[in-house]
Amino acid sequence: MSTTIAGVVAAYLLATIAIGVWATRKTKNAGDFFVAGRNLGMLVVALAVFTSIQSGFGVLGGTGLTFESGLGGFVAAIGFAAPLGFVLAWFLVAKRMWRIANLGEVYTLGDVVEHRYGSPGVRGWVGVAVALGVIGYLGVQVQATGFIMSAIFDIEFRTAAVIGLVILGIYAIGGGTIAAVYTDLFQGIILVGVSAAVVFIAINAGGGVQNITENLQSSDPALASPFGTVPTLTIACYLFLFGIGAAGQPQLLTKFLMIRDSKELRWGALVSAVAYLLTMLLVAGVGLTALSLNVQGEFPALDSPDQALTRFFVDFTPPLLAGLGLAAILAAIMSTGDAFLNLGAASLIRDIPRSLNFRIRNELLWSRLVVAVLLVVSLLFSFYLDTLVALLGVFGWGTFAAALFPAVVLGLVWPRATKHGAIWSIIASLVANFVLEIGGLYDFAPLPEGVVNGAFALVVAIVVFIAVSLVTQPAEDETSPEVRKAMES
Amino acid sequence: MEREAMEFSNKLMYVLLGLAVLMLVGMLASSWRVVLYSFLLVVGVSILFGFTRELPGRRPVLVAGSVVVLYGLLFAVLDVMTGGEPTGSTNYVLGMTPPMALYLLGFPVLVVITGVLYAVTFTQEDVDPELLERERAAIGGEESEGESR
Repeated sequence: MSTTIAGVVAAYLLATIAIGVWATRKTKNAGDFFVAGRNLGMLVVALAVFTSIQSGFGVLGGTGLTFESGLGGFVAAIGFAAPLGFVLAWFLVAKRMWRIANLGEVYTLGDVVEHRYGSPGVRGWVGVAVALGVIGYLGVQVQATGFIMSAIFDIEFRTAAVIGLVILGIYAIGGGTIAAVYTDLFQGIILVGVSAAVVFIAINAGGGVQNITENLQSSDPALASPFGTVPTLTIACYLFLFGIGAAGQPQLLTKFLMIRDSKELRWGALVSAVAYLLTMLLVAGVGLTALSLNVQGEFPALDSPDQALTRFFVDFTPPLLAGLGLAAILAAIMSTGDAFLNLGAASLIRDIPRSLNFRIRNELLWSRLVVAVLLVVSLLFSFYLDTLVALLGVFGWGTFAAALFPAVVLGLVWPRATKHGAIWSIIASLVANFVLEIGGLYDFAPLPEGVVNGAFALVVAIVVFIAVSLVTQPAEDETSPEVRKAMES
Repeated sequence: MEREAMEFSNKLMYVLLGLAVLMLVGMLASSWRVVLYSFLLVVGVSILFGFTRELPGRRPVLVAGSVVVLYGLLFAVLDVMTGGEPTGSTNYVLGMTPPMALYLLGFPVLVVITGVLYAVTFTQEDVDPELLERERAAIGGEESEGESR
């Protein structure tokens, strides 16, 4: 790629390192490392929520899926439901999480559920669910980093992945959540700016909206419809999984623990949702334009649909904007990666040990070490255990949604929820996701065609959570008055 | 929580259980309408859970009801438009097929409206300043404790 593109991306990477160095100086204890000292304002939290949810899958994969199947491939369901899910998460638990954070040293989802249920068991299961998801997510982000960096700097995949991970490590190990949220802020601004600019270039390259539509119709009328070639049942399942399941994503929920004042919650949902929707303009604009140009024979054949966005940046935008665009893709990948590194550390250093009645001393030091170990392990997995990364990759959104939405979110809104309901719903969600996703790789597909496994697991987990809670009601209320008060909204 | 609000929140959870079972049936019966319209009602229930202190009151029902009705209308019109063919008709709206234009412009606008409704119905929380100070001190104090170990 051109030196301008490589130069812009290199400048972006240097800026993230600089933010990391600054954040490392500000990180002095475990509270800073996990919840940024509970001192964040609205804009930082809102953009950190948006960027930690908007991953490489959303930008690269979303454009690829749109290129493959039209608007229904990603934007119409996942891309629109996720920002609705942000707003629902704010309605459901924003204030409740913020209030529980005031009860003292609440840094992780495990801390929240232990306060709520008074049960180390629920903490442990939440820790296990988060740890499984983190390993899967990180492996995928490592592969995506290597893929993009090798294309930009024209270097071998493994070298590229190592360089990307070293940069991520520089700011994530030292700066923890402070580094993560402030690089997220920087990365979010790049993502939104590039998205807003490139959509016009894309429409122009496609000869205008109507020309794009007519080209798509000439190839397949369904491609010019809202759901593309994707079955409506799948769209409905994705709307549910991403609309409701967003509230179960740990990288979103933990942000509510970091806010300094409840008034900062007011506009956060709207800002996060609008920022995410703006990136959907990029995904829809480039995906449909590339498809339209492909129909006309004016877009190169691709080895994989995931290359559609990078190809478009390089071939159809000026080098400076292409550089910013590729930096934006890296931003989406790295911002998700850093959020999961911190979640993984919290789970392994705080939640799982405490559930076993074991407290780790000097959590800050050990968290930094665990982040470094997670980086190395995810790198080795992506180099040598490709199949395992693919298998763990299924422990993504659907697992978090099904495992955490009932136990954490419904648990906070419903005083009659019990620890048994929480534990059994997490177990049911993990089993359902494991069996359906891994079974699918070996031709075991018991659900009707079009049903999304994660959506099925989420609905099963909700039913199990409510039903088990109803049949395991304690003789008297076991929730402390402080927690009960925090649960009001 | 007030007794009346608590009872209402229990009823809401039973409604959610009913909707979840309905969605399960919809998925197993391959009925996208059952899944989709149940999901929209789940959205309404989720919004109501954001107002448990005020339940059963007029404001929560108005906010949740308007969001559910607007989304319901969007999908119902889309359903009618695409009944015959996926692109609706041979006309164009802003260069797009009518269903595409309706969905691409309508859904995000409703997301924004829902976000605005959250902001305008938001009431700031009052937390005991002493409690807050204690919590801040706990976060700040942990370091010296941790480092000395």
